[in-house]
Amino acid sequence: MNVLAWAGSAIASGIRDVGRSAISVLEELGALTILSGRIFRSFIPPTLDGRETWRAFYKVGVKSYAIVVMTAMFTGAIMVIQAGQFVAKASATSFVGWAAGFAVLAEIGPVLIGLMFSGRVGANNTAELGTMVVTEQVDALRALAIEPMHYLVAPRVLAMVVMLFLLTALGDLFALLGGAITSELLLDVPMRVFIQQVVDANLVDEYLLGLVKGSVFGLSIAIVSCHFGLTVSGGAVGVGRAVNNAVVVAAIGIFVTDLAVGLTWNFL
Amino acid sequence: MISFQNIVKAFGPHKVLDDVSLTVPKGQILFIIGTSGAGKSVLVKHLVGLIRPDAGRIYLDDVEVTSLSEMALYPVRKRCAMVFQHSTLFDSMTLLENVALPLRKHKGLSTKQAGVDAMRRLEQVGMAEESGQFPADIGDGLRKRVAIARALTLDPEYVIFDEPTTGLDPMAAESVDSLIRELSDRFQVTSIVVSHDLRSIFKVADRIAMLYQGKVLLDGSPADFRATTDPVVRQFIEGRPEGPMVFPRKS
Ligand SMILES: Nc1ncnc2c1ncn2[C@@H]1O[C@H](COP(=O)(O)OP(=O)(O)O)[C@@H](O)[C@H]1O
Ligand SMILES: [Mg+2]
Repeated sequence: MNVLAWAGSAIASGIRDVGRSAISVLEELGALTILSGRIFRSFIPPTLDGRETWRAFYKVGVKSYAIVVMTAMFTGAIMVIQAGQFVAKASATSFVGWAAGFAVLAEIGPVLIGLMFSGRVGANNTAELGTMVVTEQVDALRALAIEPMHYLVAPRVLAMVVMLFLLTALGDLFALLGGAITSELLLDVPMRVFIQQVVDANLVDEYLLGLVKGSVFGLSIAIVSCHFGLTVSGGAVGVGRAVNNAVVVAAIGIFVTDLAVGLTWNFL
Repeated sequence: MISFQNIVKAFGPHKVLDDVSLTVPKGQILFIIGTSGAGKSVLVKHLVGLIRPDAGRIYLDDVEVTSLSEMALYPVRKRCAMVFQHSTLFDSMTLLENVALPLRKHKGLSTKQAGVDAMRRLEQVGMAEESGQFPADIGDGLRKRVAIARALTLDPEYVIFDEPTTGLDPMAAESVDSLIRELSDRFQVTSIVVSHDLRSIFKVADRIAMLYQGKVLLDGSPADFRATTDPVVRQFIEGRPEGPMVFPRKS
């Protein structure tokens, strides 16, 4: 009896919790949509502050290129190892370049690079904007009649989209390099042969798809990280919480938009 | 002229301002005093639209600030500058860049011209030597001086100073006091100064208003404050810990 009552109330509260989190997810989605609108409007007029824009590009680039190159090399290596087992069984080593190249360029490369970028650049952006909010630097901008969206947010969004596009373009090449090295060392497929296989596979489409994904991920990381930064409240603890949320939601955003871009690409 | 009319503001259940009305004629200096947490900062932030009231209106000359959208507030903010209670200098910029920013953005100056003008303004507050340092590298009192220089870059008609001399040494406080007086005497600037500094209150103020429990307890000249028999006001200006005054609970 007691147990039943307890189970009943536990289920009820479970349903309530799910309901509550569904509502808060919808609220966040609503807020993200509104912020996206404001971000697009903040590019009008398109005269961004030169200094802030330069600083945003510099910071994003310097912070992330090393980690992106490293992630990419390992990604290529891992894909070759995985593909290697498969092609060895089917004794089709001539496919390793194609298989690894395909997976890396279209899917794994952009996603892993995006996740690393989010952990590095997105988290940093949330922390910086959040700190500016709690120390009233954002209010100080408003008090100086400088619009925070236009002055602070727009350059960061631009930098993240452009840089993740470029970093994906660059990272893909390093992933293939990592794959080539691994295939020479572990599969006895010489690097030149591996690269020839990739070239022959004609993966231009996959490369382009990866670049589109990179840009879309950049945009979603930018919007999410700015959103959580600008809505911080509650001092240093609030900043910590916001960074946490930003990284988790940006990761979800990457997977969701990955699916969406992939599906759309196939329909076109 | 600045005019607050029947301002009410609550955060959740906590009513911070409860029907506050105050008027400051052109060129005057109004000091707002009151215990910590009395709502002084909240009140002055209303004037530039950083906080919206639950009820009441605020006029800056004949512009009703409280009815303006965020976008429409920007021209108002160029005329009405604000020095925040805590340092709000931008950490990513040097002191010089901080002061140059509004000049670059609103006066159409090139980075170089803005730098020259900003340097001149830093000299006025005795901070020229530190111009290349970052806000984190200097003390609170020095940051406050830079913040004042930055707020005055657009030659505002109105200035809000939120505790401008708190944390400053007596000499620096003195020079901030005379700066505020000079702005009023020479340039007809209208100022609201939030302060606990009894010395500067009685030296600089044209008028004083004391906020207490969400209301204006007394609004009058320094002479009125010296002569008042109100026990709460007396307790405050005499700085006695014991007395009838009820301190706001920390929210
Ligand atoms: N943004 C805010 N959200 C909630 N409460 C606030 C906010 N700003 C101020 N308060 C509360 O309003 C009261 C008055 O604060 P404030 O105006 O800063 O006092 P002071 O007179 O010392 O300047 C305090 O209790 C403070 O906690
Ligand atoms: Mg205050």
